Amino acid sequence: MNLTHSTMRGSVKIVAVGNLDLIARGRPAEFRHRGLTLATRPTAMAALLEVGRDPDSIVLVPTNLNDMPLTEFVDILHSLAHVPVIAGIVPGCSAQAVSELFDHGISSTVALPTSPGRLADAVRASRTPEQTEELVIEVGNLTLDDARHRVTWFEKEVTLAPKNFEILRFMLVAHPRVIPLQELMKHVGDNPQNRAVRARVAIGRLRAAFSDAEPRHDTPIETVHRIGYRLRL
Amino acid sequence: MRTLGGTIDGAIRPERPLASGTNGERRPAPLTFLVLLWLSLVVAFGVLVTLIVTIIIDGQGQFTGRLLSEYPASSPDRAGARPAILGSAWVIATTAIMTIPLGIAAAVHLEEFADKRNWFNRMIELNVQNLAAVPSIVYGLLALAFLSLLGVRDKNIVIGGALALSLLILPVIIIATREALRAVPTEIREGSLALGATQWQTTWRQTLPSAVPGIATGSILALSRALGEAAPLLVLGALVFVSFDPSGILSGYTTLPIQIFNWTGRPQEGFHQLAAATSVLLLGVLVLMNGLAIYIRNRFQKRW
Amino acid sequence: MIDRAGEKIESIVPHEGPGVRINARPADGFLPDEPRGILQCENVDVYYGSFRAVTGVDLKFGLHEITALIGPSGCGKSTLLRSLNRMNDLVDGARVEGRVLFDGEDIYGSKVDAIEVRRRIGMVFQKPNPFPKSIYDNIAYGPRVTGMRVDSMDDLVEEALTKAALWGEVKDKLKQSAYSLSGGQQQRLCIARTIAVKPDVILMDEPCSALDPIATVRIEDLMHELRREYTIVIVTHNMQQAARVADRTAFFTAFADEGTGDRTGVLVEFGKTTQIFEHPTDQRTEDYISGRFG
Ligand SMILES: Nc1ncnc2c1ncn2[C@@H]1O[C@H](COP(=O)(O)OP(=O)(O)OP(=O)(O)O)[C@@H](O)[C@H]1O
Ligand SMILES: [Mg+2]
Repeated sequence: MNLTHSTMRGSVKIVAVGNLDLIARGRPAEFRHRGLTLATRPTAMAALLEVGRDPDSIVLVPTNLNDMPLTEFVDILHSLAHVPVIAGIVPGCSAQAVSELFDHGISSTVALPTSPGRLADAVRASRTPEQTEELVIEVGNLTLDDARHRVTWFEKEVTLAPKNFEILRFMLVAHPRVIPLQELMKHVGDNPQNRAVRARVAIGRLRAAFSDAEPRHDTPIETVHRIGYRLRL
Repeated sequence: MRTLGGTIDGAIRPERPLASGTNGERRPAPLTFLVLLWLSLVVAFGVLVTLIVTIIIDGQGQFTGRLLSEYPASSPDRAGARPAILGSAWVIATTAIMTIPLGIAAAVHLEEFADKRNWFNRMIELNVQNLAAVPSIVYGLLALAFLSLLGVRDKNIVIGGALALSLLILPVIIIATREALRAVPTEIREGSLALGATQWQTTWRQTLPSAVPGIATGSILALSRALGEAAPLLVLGALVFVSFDPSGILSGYTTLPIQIFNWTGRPQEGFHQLAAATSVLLLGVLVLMNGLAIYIRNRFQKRW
Repeated sequence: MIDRAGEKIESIVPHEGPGVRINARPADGFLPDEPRGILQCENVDVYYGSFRAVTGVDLKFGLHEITALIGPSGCGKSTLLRSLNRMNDLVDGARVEGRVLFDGEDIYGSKVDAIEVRRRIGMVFQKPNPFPKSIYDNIAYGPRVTGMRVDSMDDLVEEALTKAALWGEVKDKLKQSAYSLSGGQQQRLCIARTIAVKPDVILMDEPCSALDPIATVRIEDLMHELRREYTIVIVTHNMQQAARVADRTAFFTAFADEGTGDRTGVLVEFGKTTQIFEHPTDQRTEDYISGRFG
């Protein structure tokens, strides 16, 4: 989670499409110092071949790619090569085009031409959670995987909105203690209004999510009348 | 690292593809049913077309101004249907004036004011439904008895015929009006009442205006049914040979269906042609009335 | 007819009299422990024929307060609400026992005119139900049918639409059909229409359930505004909405009658909204508000 450039081991290969001058600002050695090996290819096709040869690389695509529609290329990279794609934003590129790229699954962006530091940040941002520190809480039949934002109960996946997920994590950490409503109220977001009802409603949503996932078991959230709630696992 | 491609790997594969190749409508049972439906349509339509074409061919020689302007005569070359046309107009107009307000009033009472859980109201409702299915000649007999009771000697008067036809179509109008009122959403009534309007104001200002298209359509269709009736009028002794224009509700009259009935019974071929031409005329009027009803329905229909 | 109704007006409370409006809540935020009831249920039972839908309700709706009625589906919230302005009179076989007092007078009293009750206690429905007329006529309808003395109908229409936060959006198309408005606008039109007859109490039955979140927020803001002048009772299924708008909340639930097997609604708990959501005294309330009722 807290990777800095000094802790980055080995070297990451970046396959960039286009002319080195237009892409990088700085000498190759400076990039290597950050753990990045830059390989530029003149066309999208050539870059694709390079990725085929080295499937662990990351692709940097400038938004003014001209030998192929940009989004199509991104899709091809994802579906054929399964590599993360960083979009290199060229001055004059519209915000809408960028958001469209994110819809097509790019992992991060960087302004072109890029400095070694900027590119290293973009590479870090494109790392998937698998490479980060993992937090999995498991109590009884309930598992909460923080990094993947997943909750399973009796092996069934429980679908939760982010806020409710936070509350469940808090309750799991506190397990088996009873959590008074007042304490729960602190975890329902920043808005100071109507915290009580939002906490109660969140509990209701959690219960609904649990019984949707596994109707045969009673939901694990227990009301402790006039005090609060507790997980019974 | 590979999660970016994961969504594509995990794409939903439907268990049965849309292009399954088995068209549910092409199996034998639905297909037979479809063919039967088509056949019945063809039969019904065929009969209708044959009928219309035959009478048009029969009557084509008689489509002249004389048909509209002349009185019946002993020779087909001089006869026309003028009194019948005027008689039909008089009778239908009188019927409309007598029935429509009464029918609407009855329907409004039943639908908006009467307590539907009361046994008496429920019985009336049931009877109205049944009356709509009674053969028209029965209404002729009823009107005959009623006029006799009043001591009316000459029962072949416009008002007498209108009475019989009114009895005939009153249930139809009541039912049509109730349907139209029922189609007005309760929310509209409740909205009006919740503002402090009375039941009467609500009916008069909200429900009825919204129901007017439905009521108009139903009434026109009912009147066109009355226009084609001959049986109840014959029971009342309608004259088959009238050589004067009806001049009021107490005047004697004949109507188009009766005139047709009369001419068809004559031996001369010329009268048969006249009857056919008059039938076409009557048919045309009916088509026009139905067209008007459809127009009103489509033009003013409320979509809630 | 209207004149006779007019006599009965006098027999309830002087309508425009300052007596009713002057006693507004001193300031937002201050809420007395006991509501100063303008509308009050005393041991109310509501029947549909022989089916008892609601029983034994004792409830006070405070002047210039918003009271929310919450509870599971079928517990009789709408039924109770509709008996507060005699809308249930329109349902054949519906009957109320007990007393519903409006400013001390039983609205089911033998001399009371239901028409006048409904004018003083207006209602907004779940589904927006504008009349098939122009926007202007929708607002003017109430004052016209109730025979209100109006100096300028145009001013009245503008005032009502302004109060309902709709004037800006419709002022250039008052002659257009109300059906040309969006759902949220239609609902505000219905509120404006209710305001136009100057009622004292406005009953709202799930007024936002057919609306999107943005329209919902607008109606909620509107209710906060209206509270200065009106007493509001709202039925809602949305607990957050109850918490956002209501000063007090009443929780209802249904229990199965042992004899008949009917599911009859009862009032479980009534109090300040914060109290109901933070420290409910009844286990059933707590279970319901945190989703243990299916
Ligand atoms: N017009 C009616 N005739 C007979 N029974 C009715 C009528 N309206 C409602 N009921 C019954 O009365 C009971 C309460 O209904 P009501 O509509 O008041 O519930 P509610 O609390 O408003 O429910 P919801 O939250 O779903 O709107 C239900 O059992 C219902 O079936
Ligand atoms: Mg309801």
